Amino acid sequence: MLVVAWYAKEEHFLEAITALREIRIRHPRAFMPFLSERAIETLDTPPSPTRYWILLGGIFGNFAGWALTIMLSIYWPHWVGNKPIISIPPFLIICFEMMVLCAAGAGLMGFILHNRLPRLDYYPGFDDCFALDHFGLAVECPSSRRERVREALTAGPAEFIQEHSDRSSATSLVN
Amino acid sequence: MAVARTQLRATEPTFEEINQGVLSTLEPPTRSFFLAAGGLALIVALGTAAWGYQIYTGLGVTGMGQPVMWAFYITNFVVWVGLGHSGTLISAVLYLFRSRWRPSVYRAAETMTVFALTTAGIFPILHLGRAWFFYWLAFYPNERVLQPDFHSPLVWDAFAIGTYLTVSVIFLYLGAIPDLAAVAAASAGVRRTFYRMLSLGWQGTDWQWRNFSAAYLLLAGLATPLVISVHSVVSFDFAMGQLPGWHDTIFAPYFVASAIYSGLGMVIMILIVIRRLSGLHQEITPWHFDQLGKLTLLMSLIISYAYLMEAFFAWYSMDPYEQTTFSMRYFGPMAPLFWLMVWSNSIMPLALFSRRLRRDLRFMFILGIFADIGVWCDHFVIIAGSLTTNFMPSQWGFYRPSWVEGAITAASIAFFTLMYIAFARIVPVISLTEIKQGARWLHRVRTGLRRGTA
Repeated sequence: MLVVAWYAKEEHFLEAITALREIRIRHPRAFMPFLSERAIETLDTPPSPTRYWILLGGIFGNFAGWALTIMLSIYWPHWVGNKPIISIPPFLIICFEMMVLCAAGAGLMGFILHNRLPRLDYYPGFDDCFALDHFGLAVECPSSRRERVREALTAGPAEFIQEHSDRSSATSLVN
Repeated sequence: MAVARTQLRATEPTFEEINQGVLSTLEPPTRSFFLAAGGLALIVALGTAAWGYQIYTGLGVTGMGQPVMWAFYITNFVVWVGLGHSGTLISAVLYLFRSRWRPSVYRAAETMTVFALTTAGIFPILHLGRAWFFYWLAFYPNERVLQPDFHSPLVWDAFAIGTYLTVSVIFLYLGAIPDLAAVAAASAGVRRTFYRMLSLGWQGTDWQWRNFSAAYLLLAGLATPLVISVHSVVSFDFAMGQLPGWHDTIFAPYFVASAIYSGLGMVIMILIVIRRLSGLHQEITPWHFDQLGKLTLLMSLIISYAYLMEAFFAWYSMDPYEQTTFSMRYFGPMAPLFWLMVWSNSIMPLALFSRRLRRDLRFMFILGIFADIGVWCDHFVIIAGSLTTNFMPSQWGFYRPSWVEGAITAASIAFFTLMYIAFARIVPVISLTEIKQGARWLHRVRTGLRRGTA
């Protein structure tokens, strides 16, 4: 079953997360209207792999920049202002720009892929309030643990708690 | 609403009140909006007609000719790139420093960057006699086996500005995704579907925020050196030349500072207009202008230092060409523009030492206008002014802009404004999520419980 709780204040939300972790529910689905770094720390959310996308994008862009400038200069060897055909200082500028461009593009791609975006359906338990003015916690648990989960969710005073017998009915929360 | 806003000062704003205030900027446009947009579209149409006339007749309809081959269009290009400069800089640098006053200003600044760069990108094409061949700057397989010369600062420019525009769009869009999801949540019907598509179905889970913060932080880290590099590269267009008045090693930091200064002037004006028209008095406070004023003052002092150094180099080098160029700049036909520039960029901003004036929105608006005029004059004096006095007095000449250049310049301002006001009707120009994040702190600063620090 799915138990969903609404919180008006960040502190209450954090208290509920701590209480859930005490009963060994380590990764409830948390919804936040803004980035709460304390919540992410408390939930112990793993680091984002997006960082590696940016690093790899930057490395690729840098190599692409050198390849582009050197290979095209050899392909069309235009002697200008007594600068060598393969001239490192001017090419460095283009490599830097290519590095930033590819890193930013890869970062956006990593962000989209790891978040499984674009997403057409809603996560079970999602409510519009969670995008606007409330924090939310959605916990999936067997019926036997329902009471303990409810207790933990009310450790930080919840505004509202809803229970759903299955995941599919939970999506009906969306307005 | 006025009563509710007065009451808000005594208590911390709730999330509902923040939503209500910011989302009110997205209400359906009024008649006055359509009138303003229609007027701006008309100016853009007139400018486009002037460009058509220029293409049909040739570049002779402009005031350009020997020796001044770069004038209004290239000045406008450099100024628009500069205006776009401070948007991403304010956003990225202040994000890295976790500045508390960033949330109220950064979206407006980033939006300015994107549209200013779009406007800037038009000018090199306008400057071409045969504008339809602008794609020759790109590398592509062709039967003439010609490729761009990567040693040329003009090619660096194309790469730098292209990258800057792309990264700025990514940065703006990424930061706006949670806000677009909030707008979707507060909407219904087609509007809801539209905003859900724009927000890619964002739902604000802890994992999504984790990925968001990693991507946003690293993009801010990448954008910061990029911002510095872009206007440095633009300054190389001139500094790499041998012309007296252009060949100057101080140009890179000087151009970066003047770009940030002009961008700050524009951000100040835009925020004052948004605050007044949308009634966002709680979200954009005099304290924000106080912080922007300090940054503007810092940039002004750097520019003033550059002016003094330029004069010193000309005198100390004992180079007669350099000395003649600068003497013509100070006392020749360009002198009125030069002294207007000194007033706008160096003397008037000294008033920002006064905390009272930094919080006086009327003064800040006027300063914003002068900052942009001053930087335009600055670049015009450097670009066109230096070209009037070449090495050989026999090559000297003068430049007078034609009505075509004036019409196209006016159209570029109208184009930028039109794009901006249309965008501000679709995307919140104040970040909903970050305002909520800093709501308690902002309230404490506003009510004097805590002294704000940048």
